Amino acid sequence: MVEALAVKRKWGDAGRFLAGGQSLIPAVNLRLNASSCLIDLNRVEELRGIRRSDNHVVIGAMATHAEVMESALIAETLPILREAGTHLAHTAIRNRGTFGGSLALADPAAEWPAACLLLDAEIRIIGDQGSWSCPTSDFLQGLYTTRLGENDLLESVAIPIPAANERYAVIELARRRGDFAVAAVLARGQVVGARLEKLAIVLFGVSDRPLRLAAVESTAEAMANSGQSEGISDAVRDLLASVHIVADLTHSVQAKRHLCGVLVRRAVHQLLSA
Amino acid sequence: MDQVTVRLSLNGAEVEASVEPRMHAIDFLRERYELSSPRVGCEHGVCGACTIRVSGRIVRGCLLLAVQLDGADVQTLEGLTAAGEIADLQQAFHERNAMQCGYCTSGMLMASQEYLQTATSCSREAIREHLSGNYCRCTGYEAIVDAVAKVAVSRGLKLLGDNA
Repeated sequence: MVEALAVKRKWGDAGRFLAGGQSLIPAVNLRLNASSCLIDLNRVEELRGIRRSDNHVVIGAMATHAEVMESALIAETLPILREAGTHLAHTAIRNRGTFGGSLALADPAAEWPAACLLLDAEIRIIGDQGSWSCPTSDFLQGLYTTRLGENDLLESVAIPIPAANERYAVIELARRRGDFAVAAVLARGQVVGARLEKLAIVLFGVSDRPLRLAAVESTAEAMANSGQSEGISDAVRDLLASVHIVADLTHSVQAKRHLCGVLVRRAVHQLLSA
Repeated sequence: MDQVTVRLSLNGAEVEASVEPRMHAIDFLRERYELSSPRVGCEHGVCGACTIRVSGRIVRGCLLLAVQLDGADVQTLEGLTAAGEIADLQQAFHERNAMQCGYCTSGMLMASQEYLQTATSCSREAIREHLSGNYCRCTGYEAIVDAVAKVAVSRGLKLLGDNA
């Protein structure tokens, strides 16, 4: 890792860390990226592995999507990642693409950044300023934009292990399995008696970054607990009227707001009936 | 540009070669070793025609650089064929006519074999999902799913679902 960081400092902006390469190499092939030097991280052992550290799971930046999905530790402590991963591209991509690479790319329709936002993950970084870290909400700055500086390397992601009674929901709408989502929701919460508590919701594939909105969370939770859960779709759609939503080739801003409402309602139902 | 020496196991044989760092794995295999089963399709990771097996797992040959194969165990369809590992799958594709132009077939076979090796049970939906990273523009996929499902059953997997 020391060597990789030194090479990056030497090349600066003309150098680029290469993780799994499942987004960077397509960009290189299409001549959208013309870095003079690619610094392959695949043999940097310190960046691999998934381990438990007290009440956190620490996922090394170079853990592949497949390793995350096959990890017994993840299955036991963060099953939401396993389920979210089933929507992530295809087998051959999952075998090579990495957790940290996905975070560093910050595609607004990607599963791992959205999941890290939902799970209050801490992003650990090493660079010119030594080691530092920041919450996912701060790390993700916009479309393909993060807090990573020119010579910074995403080292690992530390995710607090949720309470054992926590429930989760993963719902994605895509035109084809594995495609980037048209609209998607990740949700978590606890059901105490018949009440839904500590509801957290992330919407993604609909804006320049995954969205975690306090108003959506509190409204959905309050409506779920007052027998109005059927109205959540319309309420969430209306709440999103003032939120920056981005259209894509097939769905307008209005359609995405509508779909977000429907997905949140379904996620709440799923949490309550799990 | 400076050449880099790579050593790898290629379809069971130890090989050593000198490559430019910018060379893609798919070009390395096709041009240096005349292994024509992995195809150059979309060249940006979407179509799956370039699927190869690296250290036991399928990957996109167009999204890897030749230098990254250093130290790896690389298998192409030629290697699997020579070893007889997928003779039943190839026979099933042949019998069910699970190809037309054949461009996607290498990748389909590589991906199908990884599915059959890792699945504990099988359904047509799961086969389709697993092969969703491989494009076929001729067959409509139905015959390919038939062929994989047939081999799944003959290898002892239980076929679940409505269309079993």
